[in-house]
Amino acid sequence: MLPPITVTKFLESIKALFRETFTPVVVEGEITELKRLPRYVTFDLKDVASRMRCFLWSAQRGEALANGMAVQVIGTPTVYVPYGSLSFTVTEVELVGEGALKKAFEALQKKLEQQGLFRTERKRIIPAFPEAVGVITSSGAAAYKDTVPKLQLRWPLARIRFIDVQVQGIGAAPQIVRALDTFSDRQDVDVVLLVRGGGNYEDLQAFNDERVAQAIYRSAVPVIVGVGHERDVTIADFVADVRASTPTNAAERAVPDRVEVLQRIEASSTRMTRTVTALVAQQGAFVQDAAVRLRASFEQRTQSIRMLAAKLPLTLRTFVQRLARYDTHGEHLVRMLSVRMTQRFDAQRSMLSERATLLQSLSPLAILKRGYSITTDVKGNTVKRSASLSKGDRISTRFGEGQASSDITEVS
Amino acid sequence: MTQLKPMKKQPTFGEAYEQLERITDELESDSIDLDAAIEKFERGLELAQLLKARLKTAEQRVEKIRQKFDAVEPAEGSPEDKT
Repeated sequence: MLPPITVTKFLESIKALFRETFTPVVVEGEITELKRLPRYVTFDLKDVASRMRCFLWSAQRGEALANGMAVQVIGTPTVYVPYGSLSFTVTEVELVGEGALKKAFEALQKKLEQQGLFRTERKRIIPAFPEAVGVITSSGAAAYKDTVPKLQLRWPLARIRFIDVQVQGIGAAPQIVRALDTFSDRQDVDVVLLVRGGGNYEDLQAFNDERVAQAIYRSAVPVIVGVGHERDVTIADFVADVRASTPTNAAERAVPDRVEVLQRIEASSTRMTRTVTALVAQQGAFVQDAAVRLRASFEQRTQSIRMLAAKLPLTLRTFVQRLARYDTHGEHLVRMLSVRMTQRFDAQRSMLSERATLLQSLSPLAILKRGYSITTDVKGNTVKRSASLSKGDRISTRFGEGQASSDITEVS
Repeated sequence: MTQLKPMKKQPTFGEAYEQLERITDELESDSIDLDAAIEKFERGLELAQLLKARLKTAEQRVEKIRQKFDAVEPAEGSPEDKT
């Protein structure tokens, strides 16, 4: 046997054992003996046969609770050392049963309305062309498939950032709060969509959670809530900047339709073209008008110009006559020139002929014609003295007409 | 190396669209003169073209992604955000 220990030590060791042994469990029961204290709430959770003491360390979460309510709590067992009693530390509490839920809903709605969370003047405007859209839902849910492809199809310009959360059951609300706070802190999206498809009343309770309502309220980014079907109304819907009837509708409210935007751009282009064309036509009309007035003001001057023009043929005739006169005179000049030139040519021609006759009379050929002859040796040199010849030399004699060769037989 | 001049910031789709609407309205005001109107008209058509081109590009990009993944299916159970 171990040596004895104190009561406190014993209870503390059991408490430690509990902490090491138990992971959070969900327990269902009915609330009784509810006590609200400034920092926490205590109540007993019971069923037909048993009960256990519960501590909820959040006065705010306890506000929706009342004796007789059926709830599910999530938490861990522990030992309350001063009394040596078992107690249950509650981290989450969810109402069970439609009656209780509706009652809690009405109470919360009233409270938040008084706090001003639903004021229309605090609702923010969703940007006309969001560049990034945050989506909070469960990746496995139908809402994801209703929302994300719809967003991309309608407005492919927007980037989509998605945070996967649990959208029902105990523990869903804290995840949704974390996701909303994440988008709010990062501010990397222009609008946040909090969506979930249809379900029974209890399935939508995360959206009736006060913490979710407060997270939507404090979000720095506008929030569109689209939960369930048209008929489902949650507290989140009231706080949202835009309440969409369904997840699909949330996507439609978040981004514009590209086809519609394209049509609007085309319409703008058409309007601009029409306006400018009209403006140009109007300016043209001004110019036309100015031209008419200008023409009228110059009408008188035009008249005098016309009169001048009428006189013109007469002036022209005089001019032509004068020209004709000049022409006659010119012709005479040309004729004179031609006669003078002919005379000059004739004089030159006769002078040339005289010179040619003179030249002819001086030519040696002309002398030969008179009966003289020229003698040359074999080399063609003119023989001027008989001493330059020897017996046997051949000489050539040129006469006035023709020539003859002879051999020297004697030189004297 | 000297620092490069910062690129002129491209207007967002919303800014460009707003500008287009304003130009369209201004053009229809009575007091505009022809030269200013033509200048605005040119800018307006430029903006319209820019906006249409941006939509087209985004559309093509989404179509490519769609084809790549065949259908838009989220990864199972990952709590990380997907962009």
